[in-house]
Amino acid sequence: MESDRPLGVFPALVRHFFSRFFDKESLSPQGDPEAGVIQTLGILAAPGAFFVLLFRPLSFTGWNLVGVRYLFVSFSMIVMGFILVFEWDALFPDRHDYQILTPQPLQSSTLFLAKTTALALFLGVFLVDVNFFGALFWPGIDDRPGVLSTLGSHLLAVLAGGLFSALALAALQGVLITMLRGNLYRRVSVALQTLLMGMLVMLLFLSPLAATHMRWMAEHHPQYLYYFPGFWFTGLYETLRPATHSAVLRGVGGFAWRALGCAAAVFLLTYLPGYRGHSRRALETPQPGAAGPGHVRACCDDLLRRAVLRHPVEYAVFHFITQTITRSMKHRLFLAVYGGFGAAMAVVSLASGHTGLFELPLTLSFILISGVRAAFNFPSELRANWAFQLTETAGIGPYMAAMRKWIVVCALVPLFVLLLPMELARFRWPVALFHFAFGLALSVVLMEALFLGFRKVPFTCAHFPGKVNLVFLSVMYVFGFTTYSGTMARVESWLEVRPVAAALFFAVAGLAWFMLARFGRSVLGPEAVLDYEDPADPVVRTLGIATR
Amino acid sequence: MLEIQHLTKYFRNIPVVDDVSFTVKPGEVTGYLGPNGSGKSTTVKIITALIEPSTGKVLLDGRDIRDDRIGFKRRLGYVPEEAILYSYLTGLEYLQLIGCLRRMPPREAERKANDLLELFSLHPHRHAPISTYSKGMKQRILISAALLHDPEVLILDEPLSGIDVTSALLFKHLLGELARRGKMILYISHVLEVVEKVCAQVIIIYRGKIMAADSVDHLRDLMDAPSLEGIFAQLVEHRDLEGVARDIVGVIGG
Repeated sequence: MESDRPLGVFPALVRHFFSRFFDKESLSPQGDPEAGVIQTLGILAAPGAFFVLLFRPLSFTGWNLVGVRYLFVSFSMIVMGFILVFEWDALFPDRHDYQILTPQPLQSSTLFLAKTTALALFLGVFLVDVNFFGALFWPGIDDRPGVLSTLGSHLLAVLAGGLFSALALAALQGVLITMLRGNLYRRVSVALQTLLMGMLVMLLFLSPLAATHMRWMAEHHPQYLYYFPGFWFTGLYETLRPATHSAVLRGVGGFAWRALGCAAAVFLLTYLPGYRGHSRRALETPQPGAAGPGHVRACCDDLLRRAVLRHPVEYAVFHFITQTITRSMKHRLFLAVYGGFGAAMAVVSLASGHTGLFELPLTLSFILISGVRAAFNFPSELRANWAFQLTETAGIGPYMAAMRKWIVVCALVPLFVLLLPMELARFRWPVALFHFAFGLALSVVLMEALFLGFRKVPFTCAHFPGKVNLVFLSVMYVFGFTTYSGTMARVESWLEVRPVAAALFFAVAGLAWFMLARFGRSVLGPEAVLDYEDPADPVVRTLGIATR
Repeated sequence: MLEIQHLTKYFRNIPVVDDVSFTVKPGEVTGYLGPNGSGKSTTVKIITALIEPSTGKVLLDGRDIRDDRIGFKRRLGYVPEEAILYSYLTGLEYLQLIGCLRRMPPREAERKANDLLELFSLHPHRHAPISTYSKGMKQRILISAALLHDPEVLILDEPLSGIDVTSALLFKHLLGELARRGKMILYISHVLEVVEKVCAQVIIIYRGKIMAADSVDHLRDLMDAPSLEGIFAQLVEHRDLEGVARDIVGVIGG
């Protein structure tokens, strides 16, 4: 009996730490981590399977084959990057773990080994999952003789790429936690996590573009191939199983091994000291927060209160939105996904010349408004919403006004102000200002249209992701990226040299906004109340064909 | 006056609150007692309009609260059983949020929040996120939030949970002061000594039904018990607790 005990403790700890990686509200809103794990594994395995089956009937050779290889290598790397960014705070045991496990008769070294083993297992499971179907059907795409060699080189390249991505990001966090302390670490870590999420999404959407331009880069700008690790591991693939005999690509491939070695070394050197420091700090009682908002923030707050947020409820909801967006990891990362997508669209727009420059602000504002709308639907600390329910002592007007004002002041205006220098660099200042006003006016009308019938305080209503209306979403996005930006960019270009027509446009936009707002109020009705519960699916779903 | 009339609430056809009626008078603290799962919190959620009763009604000054929910909420202050707060907000931000949602001008909400934080010894921690607060500190934030708008009706569900001795003493004085100012106070607690000292009348609920509703002195005489603990044990707890304790030690020892 006695000898059984130590054998059981370690697997139990590994299992505990492993399951903690999935113990997230965003992965399993209904509180079923196992279902969350299976869903996540299925979602991540699907793209590899889809693309390999899509490409399989075609036979690729030369640079075309290199391009397809790049897609699979970069997908493996980007997904492993996503996982590390998503689990950014779970690389080390958290305060909750320490509070439960420290009183138990366990050695610190046992905890460390169990956590490290769980982390390795976790990364291994995802690495295999993401690449399994791609590797299984790969020999059909590269149908040159030597199935085992084809399979082996493919596996080595995608696994090495994925491993590098995971180790490099873990090493980055190790360096941060070793070098920075307290608030500075938290601030830098949060900013980096958000930035990385945005960058990974951008790279994911730009992958096809990069894949089709690899030959051009190798022949004209070989230095570009050293800028992104996806090219290094595609180069590694080329050294293992040549498709083009490109010396540039093989040279880049040599770089991949060194990069993998460096990432592993930095990870090993920083993880243990980082773990020790983290475990010491995790249980320390936090000191009282030093200072409140600074002078600049207080001035902005005062200005907002006097000029924009006249009603106390507006003031409360406006600040609640800001505080949640900036402090909730789930919402920050969610918006970073939209930000990354917007950045990818910006790159594509800028690459497409003059028309793209007109379309860019409209595309970005469309992405921003739809991203914010989706983020507002996700609850944050849902059980705390009783505070809103109990204090709902005004009609829904001030709540909805605060939400719209937040979108304009904190999202749309900063976006167009950020784009203004680019406009000023390309156009004369009256034209640039016209573009600024045109984009902003159109975005406000679009916001009103997208928020028709919305009656929630952001982040306070239960949400069932499975109930998303895919037909509505598909129509909205197809309209957004095909018709809206393109058509409106042509209208903008036409109005630019016709001042009277431009003035008429602003009048029409104002009228459209007014009519939409009025229609929205009539849809909600005079006695509208805020929603806190997203009605669940009925136990028995009928076909809705009964006559009575 | 807050009147609870024949409240019944069914969950899956089982009555968790069964024909409950009592009154909370201005200037009095009314104790509401019962073991875990007896229906206390469900009653409170109905009174605070967080859930609907199956039957029965709640009247404030003779008017059904369902006729003017918003008017009722304006006059209500509530400390819930669990300290569920937005953990990423600081103590000051949370109180400002509640104050402004209660339609207080932002400046006034900030001033009152700071004053209450000072009086509840939380001022040094006002800029720290609530996630770093202890249970007692969170409870003091909840009490401050419930009092911020000077409500006429106060419903306090286990307000002393996790609170230190000094704060508990302060709270007992505070309850007396609030009662003297004519507030209607419904006080739910398991700490019978405190209930005995501060409540003018107590209501004891067990398995959804009211077992007793009277002043502590009168109940003492009626039940021939020396304390509220004795009354509670007679009405609610029928097990031999010493025997159960011996059984637990037996289980631990294998």
